[in-house]
Amino acid sequence: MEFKDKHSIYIQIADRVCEKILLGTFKEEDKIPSTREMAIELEVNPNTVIRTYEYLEQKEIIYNRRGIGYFIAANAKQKVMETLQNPFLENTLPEIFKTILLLEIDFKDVTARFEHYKAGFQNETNKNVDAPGHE
Amino acid sequence: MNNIFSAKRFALLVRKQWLENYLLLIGSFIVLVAFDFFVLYQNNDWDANRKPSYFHFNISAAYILSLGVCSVFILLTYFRIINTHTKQIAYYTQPTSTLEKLAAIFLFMVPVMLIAFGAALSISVPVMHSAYDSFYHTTTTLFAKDEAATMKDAILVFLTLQALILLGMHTFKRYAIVKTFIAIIILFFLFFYALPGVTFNWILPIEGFRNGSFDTISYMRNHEYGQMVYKGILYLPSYLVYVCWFALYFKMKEKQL
Amino acid sequence: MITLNNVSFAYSKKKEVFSNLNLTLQPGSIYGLLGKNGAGKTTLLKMMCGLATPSSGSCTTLGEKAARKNPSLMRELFFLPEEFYMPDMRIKKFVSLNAPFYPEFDLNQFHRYLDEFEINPDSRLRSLSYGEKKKVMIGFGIATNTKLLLFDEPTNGLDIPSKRQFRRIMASIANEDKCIIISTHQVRDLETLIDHLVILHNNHILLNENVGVITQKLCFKTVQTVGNDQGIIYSESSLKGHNILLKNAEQEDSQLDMELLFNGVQQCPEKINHLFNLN
Repeated sequence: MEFKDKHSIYIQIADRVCEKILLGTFKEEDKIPSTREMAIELEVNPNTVIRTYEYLEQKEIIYNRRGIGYFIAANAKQKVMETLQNPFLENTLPEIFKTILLLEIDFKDVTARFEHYKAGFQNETNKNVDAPGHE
Repeated sequence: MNNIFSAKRFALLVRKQWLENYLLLIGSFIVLVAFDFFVLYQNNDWDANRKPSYFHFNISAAYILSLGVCSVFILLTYFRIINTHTKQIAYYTQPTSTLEKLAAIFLFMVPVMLIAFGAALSISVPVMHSAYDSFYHTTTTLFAKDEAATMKDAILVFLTLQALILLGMHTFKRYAIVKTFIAIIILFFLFFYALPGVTFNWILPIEGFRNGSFDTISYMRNHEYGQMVYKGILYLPSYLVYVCWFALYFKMKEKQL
Repeated sequence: MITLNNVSFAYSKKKEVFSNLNLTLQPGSIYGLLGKNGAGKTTLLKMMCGLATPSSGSCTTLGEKAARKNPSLMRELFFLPEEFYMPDMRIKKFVSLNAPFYPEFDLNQFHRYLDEFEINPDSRLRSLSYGEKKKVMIGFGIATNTKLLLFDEPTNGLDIPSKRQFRRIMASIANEDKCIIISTHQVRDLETLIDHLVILHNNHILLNENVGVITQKLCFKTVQTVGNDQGIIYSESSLKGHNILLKNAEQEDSQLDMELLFNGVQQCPEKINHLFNLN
């Protein structure tokens, strides 16, 4: 069995940006931190952040305005979801199912816990959206 | 950009070395003045029963000894700049050219040293002289033997020794001071004993084979030609100081750490 | 920016440090110089700033022969040795004596770094600990704004928060004109900063490659059991299982584990060599 391996740093940073888009911290047409700001915040080589941004630009999640910086593209959230939904459904979910079966957990219990989590999560996200910049 | 010599960089370097070492340099100067007082005290008779008419000032003793004190302190200052590996790295990675570094050493070693040495004498002699006069309630005349030639030689010898020590400090990696002194003793032997000996016994055996043995001293004394050669050889060390500074430049230029 | 051409170097006849070494370093990267003790990391750094002269071959730094130690070159580089000298004086005086040699030195920038490292700019250097002195030197070196920075074990002696601050500062100054070379044993401290690795081993350079290229060719994984997979180059056991280094045949994306790579390179230099010299 293989453990989930860590991705390259530039992919990890991209995941971070995507998560913020999903959470609503970064909204469409928002300017995202410059490569240098991001590098300082994450203590990584600026070249790595440049690679991340190029990667995200290629996926049309962000776009570059020359001399100004990078912005979140229209439909970015949609695109992130599209990109991440499939790998989750294909890879991560079966593993969770496997664990549920192995541990003989009642699926009703899972559903109840999911509903509870969802309520809390939505509250949390709304707060984040109300107070942008807060992290 | 000028990589040979820039007055601005040289000034910055001198400023830096002065501000890093001025306490030691000023301290050395005070010790030097005190030393001159001591020499002048020793030179004169302080017996209150006599009525001296002269204040003695033995120039060569004061000169030679205080030059020695001077040299030691200034070398100490310079040694402080480069005596550890880490200091050498800082010294050699500093953006100054070799010529600027050498000129800064020269400035402190030669003009500054000679000025300090002269200043110490011009402070100590009048002060001690008037102290002497007020001690006896008389007016004495300053008695100084004119020993200009001796003084010149003394300065030359010290500058040569100083240059040799500097060169030694740059040439030997470990036990630099010990090795330098051994090298100086060997050089001394070479110039004043071996070289004349070899010259007269082997290169110029004009009279050397007459009796199977050869008396260098009498040959030098009695023959005009021998005297000329001997003097010539004695002049060689007086050029050593130039050779040393020249060699020092290349040693510094090619310094490896 | 730095070119070493067929460089050989020996401290004595018996102890050869490099033989026929070739290396070119470009601006715009943070180079990580790795190697075992005595592999010649410090010597290589010294060679780049003219403190060690190749016995044959040449070392050119910023277009000038490094061994000449020309002021025009020396003012464009800053070398921070592992053991360094600091005179006994206040920080202010130290700066006023040394900064004028560097035309691009920025005093405000220096004070920002002192502030970040939590060092009082009025302190006497002698009253500071080794780590604090090192932070002053790092701050000074970076504030000289030279094109080339040579750091020998910069994180040695820094406490945990300072290592973070160091990484933040390095991230803030790296740009396309600067070449930063860091020799280190503490790869974990600098893993996210370094984007180009140079590994020294037995008198020569075993690996000189961009991190992106390395992860294209190699895959870093942690597995429970090690099979007889042909692609495995090196493996070592850890708490989680086995860390393995294998050929990246399927273009998998993984995070570069510098420690694992370094050990792999030391153990199986031929395989690595073969892999990286193919194209």
